[in-house]
Amino acid sequence: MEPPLTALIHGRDLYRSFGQTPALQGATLSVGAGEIVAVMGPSGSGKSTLLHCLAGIFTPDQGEVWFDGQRLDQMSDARRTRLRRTDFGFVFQFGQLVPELTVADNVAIPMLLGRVSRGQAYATARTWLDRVGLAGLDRRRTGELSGGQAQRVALARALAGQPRVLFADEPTGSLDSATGDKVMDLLLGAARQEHTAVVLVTHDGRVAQYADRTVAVHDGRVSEPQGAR
Amino acid sequence: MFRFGVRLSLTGGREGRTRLIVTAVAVAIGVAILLAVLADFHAFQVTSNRSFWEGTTASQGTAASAASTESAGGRMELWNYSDDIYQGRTIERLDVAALGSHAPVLPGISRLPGPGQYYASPALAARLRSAPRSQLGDRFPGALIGTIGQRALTGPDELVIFVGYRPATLASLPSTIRVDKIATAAGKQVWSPYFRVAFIGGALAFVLPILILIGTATRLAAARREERYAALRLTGATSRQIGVIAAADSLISALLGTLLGIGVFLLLRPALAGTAITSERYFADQVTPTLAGYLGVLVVVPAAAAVTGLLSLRRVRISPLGVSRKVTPPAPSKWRALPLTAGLVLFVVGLALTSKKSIGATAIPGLLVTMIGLVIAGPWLTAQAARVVPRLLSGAAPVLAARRLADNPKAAFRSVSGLVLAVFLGTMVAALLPAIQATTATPTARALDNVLLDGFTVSPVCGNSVNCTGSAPAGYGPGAGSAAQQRIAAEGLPPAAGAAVLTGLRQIHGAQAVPIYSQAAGGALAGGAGGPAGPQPGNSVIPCAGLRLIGAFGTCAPGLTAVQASTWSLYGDNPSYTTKPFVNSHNPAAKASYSGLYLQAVLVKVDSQATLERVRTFLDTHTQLSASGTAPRTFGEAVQVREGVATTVQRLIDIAVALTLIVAGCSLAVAAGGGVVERKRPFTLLRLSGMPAATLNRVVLMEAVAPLVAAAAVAAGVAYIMSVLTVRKLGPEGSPTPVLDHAYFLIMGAGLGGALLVLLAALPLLGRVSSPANVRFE
Repeated sequence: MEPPLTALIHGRDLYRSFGQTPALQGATLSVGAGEIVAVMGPSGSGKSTLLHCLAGIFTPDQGEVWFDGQRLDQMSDARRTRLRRTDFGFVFQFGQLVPELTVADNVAIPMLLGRVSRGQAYATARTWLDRVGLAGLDRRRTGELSGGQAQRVALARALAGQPRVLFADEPTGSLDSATGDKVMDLLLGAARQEHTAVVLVTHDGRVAQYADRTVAVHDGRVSEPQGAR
Repeated sequence: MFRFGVRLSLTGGREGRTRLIVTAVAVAIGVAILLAVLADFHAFQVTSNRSFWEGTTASQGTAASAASTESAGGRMELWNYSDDIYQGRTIERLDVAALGSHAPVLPGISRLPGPGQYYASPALAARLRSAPRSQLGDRFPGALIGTIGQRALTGPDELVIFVGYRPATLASLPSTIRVDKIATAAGKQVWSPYFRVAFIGGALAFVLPILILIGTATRLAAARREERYAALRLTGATSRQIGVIAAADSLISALLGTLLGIGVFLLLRPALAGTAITSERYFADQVTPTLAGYLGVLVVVPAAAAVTGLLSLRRVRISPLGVSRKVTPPAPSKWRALPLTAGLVLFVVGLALTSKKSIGATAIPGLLVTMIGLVIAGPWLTAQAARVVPRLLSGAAPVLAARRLADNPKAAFRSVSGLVLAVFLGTMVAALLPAIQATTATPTARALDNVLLDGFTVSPVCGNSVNCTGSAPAGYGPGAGSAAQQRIAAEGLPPAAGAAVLTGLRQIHGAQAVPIYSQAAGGALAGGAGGPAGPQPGNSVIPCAGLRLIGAFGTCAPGLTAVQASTWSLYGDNPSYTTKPFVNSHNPAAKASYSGLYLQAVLVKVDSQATLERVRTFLDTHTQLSASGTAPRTFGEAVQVREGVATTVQRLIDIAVALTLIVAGCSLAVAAGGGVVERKRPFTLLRLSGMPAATLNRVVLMEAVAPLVAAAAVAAGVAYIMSVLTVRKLGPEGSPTPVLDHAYFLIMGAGLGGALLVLLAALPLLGRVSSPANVRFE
């Protein structure tokens, strides 16, 4: 069955287990172009697994994942990898930066991997670092940054490649509320400006309020939308 | 992408730089040692393959003797090759006379020496300049006109001399031959094939720990790198791009290490060239791995490191979310002990099949299989140690260490495998060599250190060239030569010549000569084909006063002044037989009148080294009728020559063991340091939860010590059993069971202790890395 016409990314009836432990049990979720969807739920409910399946990081045991009219779950690893580079961006709680590299290096990596010229990659990186308020820190190593600064670098990296979907998994989970608000303002401001769809996994109701729509995940299933803003 | 990988390696911050330096230094140590082994092997090969001019034989179609001085077209020369000794070192002496202007020229000189001239090797020329003439120079008539070049020598310390003569003078000497062509083929030294095999086997066995070191070093902190690769995968890097980055990372550190290693080797090369690895130094310009060796190392080591980097990625699955280890390998089964058992069986069978000719060669495959078997059995022994450790020791540290050992016993053993092989080789050497030396350096032989023997009959034909450098001179073979020469060959110097020699010896201050006369008058050369050469049993007459002077050869019955005796044992090549007493109270009396008896040999007791050399110089210049091809030497020198081979083998193995300990110690330190960095997170969390740093230190130490103790104990036990079996089979009857002395335990303890000290040096890193302040992971 084809996905809804308005959906940019659509996961239907997804099942995924880790050994004997089921994480997803028939989860379905659609996200339209430029739409910001918050995925909420208690720990272990399967929300991160849902995000990873939608992003093509995991292949579901059952079900379909469509992206822009193509079956993502049937793509080769190489094609999914290319999609991650060209169409998707990621912001996780931590662990996504390479601490040995500078701030500019980290932001430029996806472009360098995509064979964009060095000059252009670093110019774009600096532009995005300006936008997230990290101008002048481009030569610092990411291991030397504060948590909020590191998340802003991750954000700049995620958006520098002008992705069509941004996957954010607890992007403020390790930050205090003030810094978290700042990061969310930046994230959603930039996403709206670039017309980028956002799948935002969080357990924090305050963060979920930034989204256009919120869904809840319980025991591996997505419950009815609780409302749109 | 390759450039990006290189950049990632070179700009990796403090941790990255440290890793790069440690890896490069570890690779450099391995490369420098590898180049040193290659360099010495090259020198050994060049030396073994040089033109063996000493092997020149009499020209075809001419009589072996040189009665005629005529030469066909002036293309011939007369040769008289012999050995001499000075201060325990052999001098190769060639007396030569050109029979025309086209006589072949020896390698290393531009023209043949004329009468009254000689060329000497640089080392001998230096001794000729410094030693009193009566001790050395007088042996060689004439004047030094130049030094012999490298082409004719095996090394800078070799003592060689080419002495020029008039043809008529040289032709009159026994054992002179006519030569029209100088041998150019490589010499067939008895021990060269053994050394070659030992060199190749040793180098191959030694390459293993070096490869382990290089492999361990290039995999240093691999888990941390793999986390970075996961971050790159998240941003869209393909597995192939990660492969290129990993290969570039391994390659760059290995390349830097290789270049550094070549630099270190070039710095150490003069010292290496100045060290006698075998028995003598090689020429400095031959101690080189050659351009091919340098290029080979420069290409192979980084390439192997890159391949190792790629292969290591196969053991993990790097996903955008992180790194997961592939299935834990199953625990090593007891079948891993099978190759070790097979090696032991093969060794025992090889020993059973060995003969005097093969000197244990059939047991070598068993030895090699046993060494390989130890490496294969190591992980199984490690797994057994992991089960035993928590039962023997209490506390958290043994549990943590045992868990880690049981999880990956292969990796745990890999870091100590070099040390285990070193223990195996060291135990073999320590148990075997004293037994070998005991067969030669008997107390009697040692007591005869200051007694020189010069025989004048045909020397026995030796089974090898270890201690019997002379040969039966041309013209003295059965049925050859004049009747006078035949009699000299059988009985020694004629009475008048013998008396003159004894008179001359008695005039040398500090020397006491004891004559041994041949009893039988006339007759054909004793022995014949297949039989013992030299005097027959009971054919000698010895004055009892002389026997009392020497002591070791026995004493006559009271009241006798001379006895008949069998002296054949004196002329062998094994000091344990040549120093056996041959006179006792049952020997029949002989007439004390020696006029008319041929002088078979002379024993000379000397009071100093200078007297010894004066005696030798006198004998060299006054016994030209002698049929012996063996230089006059003391029994101590004979022991020394025979021990030389065993000493060389011991030195080679000592070097191998020492280098293996260095390399293995480095491997252990690198592996331990790498393990600490890789487990930064769990260690920090353990510290955070209240575990003292000392407990973590004990964990790391136990992870190294447990497999080391388990495998080293087995290796030492196996090596000792093999040594005992070897001595039982190859040693003389009644050889004692080898006993490991305190020196062995001291050396092994120091070696293993040193390696553990290197490991201890890595522990401060553990303290820093696992500090609770580091709990905020990047």
